[in-house]
Amino acid sequence: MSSSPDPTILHSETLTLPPPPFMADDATSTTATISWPEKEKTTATTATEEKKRDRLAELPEHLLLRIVSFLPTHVAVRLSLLARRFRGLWASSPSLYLDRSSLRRTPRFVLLADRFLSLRDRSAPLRRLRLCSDYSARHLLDPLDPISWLVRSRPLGLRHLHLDLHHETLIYLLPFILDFETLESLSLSTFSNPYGDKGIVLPDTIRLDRLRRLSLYLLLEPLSLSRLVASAPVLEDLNLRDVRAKQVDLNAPNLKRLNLNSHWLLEVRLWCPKLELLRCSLSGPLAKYEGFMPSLRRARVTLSDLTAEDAAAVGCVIQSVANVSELKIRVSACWRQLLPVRLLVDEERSLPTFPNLRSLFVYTSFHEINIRDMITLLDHSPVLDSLDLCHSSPYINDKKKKAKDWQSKLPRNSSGNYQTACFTDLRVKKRRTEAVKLLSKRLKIKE
Amino acid sequence: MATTGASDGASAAKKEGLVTLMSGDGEIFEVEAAAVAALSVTIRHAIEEGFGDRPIPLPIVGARALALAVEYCRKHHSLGGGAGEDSAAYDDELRAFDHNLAKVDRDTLFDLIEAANYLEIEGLLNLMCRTVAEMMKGKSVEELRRTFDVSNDYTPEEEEEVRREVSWALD
Repeated sequence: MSSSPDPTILHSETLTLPPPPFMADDATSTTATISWPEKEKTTATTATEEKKRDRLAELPEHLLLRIVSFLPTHVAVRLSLLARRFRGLWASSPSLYLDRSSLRRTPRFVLLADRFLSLRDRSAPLRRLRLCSDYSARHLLDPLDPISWLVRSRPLGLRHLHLDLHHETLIYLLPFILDFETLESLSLSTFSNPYGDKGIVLPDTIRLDRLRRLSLYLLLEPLSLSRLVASAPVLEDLNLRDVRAKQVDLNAPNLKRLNLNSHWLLEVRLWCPKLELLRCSLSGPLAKYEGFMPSLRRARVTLSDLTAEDAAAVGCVIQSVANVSELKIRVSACWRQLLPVRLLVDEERSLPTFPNLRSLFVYTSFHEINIRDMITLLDHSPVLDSLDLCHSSPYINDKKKKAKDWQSKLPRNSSGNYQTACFTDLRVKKRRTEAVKLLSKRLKIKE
Repeated sequence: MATTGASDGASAAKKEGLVTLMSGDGEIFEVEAAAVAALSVTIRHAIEEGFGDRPIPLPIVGARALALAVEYCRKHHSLGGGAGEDSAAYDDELRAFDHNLAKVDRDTLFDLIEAANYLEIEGLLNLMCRTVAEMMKGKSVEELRRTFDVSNDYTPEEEEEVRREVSWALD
């Protein structure tokens, strides 16, 4: 605290530094939160004897099988060579997993799967099929092979399917995958996009009555994506890792968790009455956004490359998450934008009320207008307790763009800079008044 | 929280929404009931059976493993809603947390597998089992035996036989 420049505005509890960056460096911040209890004396003294204990082989079979299920199948089979305990363990493994390392030569991939399926213990269920192939055309799988593995593993109780394949192979597989009523989780990834902006059109029949989790990393034609989600009535978890489409329209009555990541979307419509957790990363231009998600309790929203034209849609995004108790927003303007953009709300409407918001993190350019909006937001968030603000300076290389206009108007913090501000215990009225006073301090026109 | 009258004097100070856990070596932990009950099936059942007021004994779980397991429940409950690592909620923050948690020494790793199995914390069990699986990848049979202190109990003839058995998976 000795470095504090202005003791009148500084209270170590009101203004602490630095708040964790939005995404980066979480690895170091989390270490601090894990409390590592002192190692027990007993373990320390008997360490030398313990060293001889074969903890792995001591595990009961169902735990060994769980470990084996995370291994690529050729590694799992090789475990037999370790000791008697491991002989033939692979035969009851609930998972067939062919990874890139087993695909050095395609014939071997095929041979492995065939042997695994024909030699395994038929009384043990096969729950998971995971194929990760190389994307290079050299290692193109004949689609008939994975189709035959699917057909053979389905009656063995298959529930989870994870395919990371060349698009050519995947296209052939889709009719078999999407008419698979007993499937509980499905993950589809493919690398290249040979279909331009159109995307893959899905087959007519989609029956995924028990699907709870869906993860996609491939270009789907927009209507196909809507149809896929609508055909999975009990879907709880949807991970759209990169939507390369202009529109997305999702009706998901039972969805609880959603990740929506896209640099392409212009129009977004989400109807998710049970959604609890949202991760959403979109970039401008964003023409239209409609979101119905009244049960949301935690949201993490990243909006980048915005211009003044996107303000209406951004306002709708903020409106749609108004019920959350925890919110992290990261908003950044397009670098071509000359004047400071008002980022959280457009001129037409006012900021919504946030009745449940307890914790808020905002990473944006805290120029004058945005600071004013933050003060309004404080006013609209009766139960807000902790507020973290982090200033991001936009990239400025344009002579016409006045760097000064973009400068942070956050109050000077205990480290003597204007980059971050962190307010806690805002439920206490005195603290809240103090926070508003601090935020208004550097504004040109005082409240 | 079920508030049954039966309360041993052991945990006098009872706060709202907390539950008391007792590790196998007798250490007491006061933790948020919502977070642990959401992730641990065993603790959820114990609370439903009216253990809410008394310390829940967890005989085979050591204090260190229990502390880490509780930390896992807290973090995953607040950030991920308890869904595992293939979930849409599995973000960088959870990934980093899990990554750090998996960096424990080998004994703690197995303690955590046993603890997660006993407490029925699916996500933690998967994380730790996957960590062991990752340690197995890219190792020769000899290296595997060394890493996990597995003693080879095969006779040379048996070993040869097994080698033939699995030859289709060898290079």
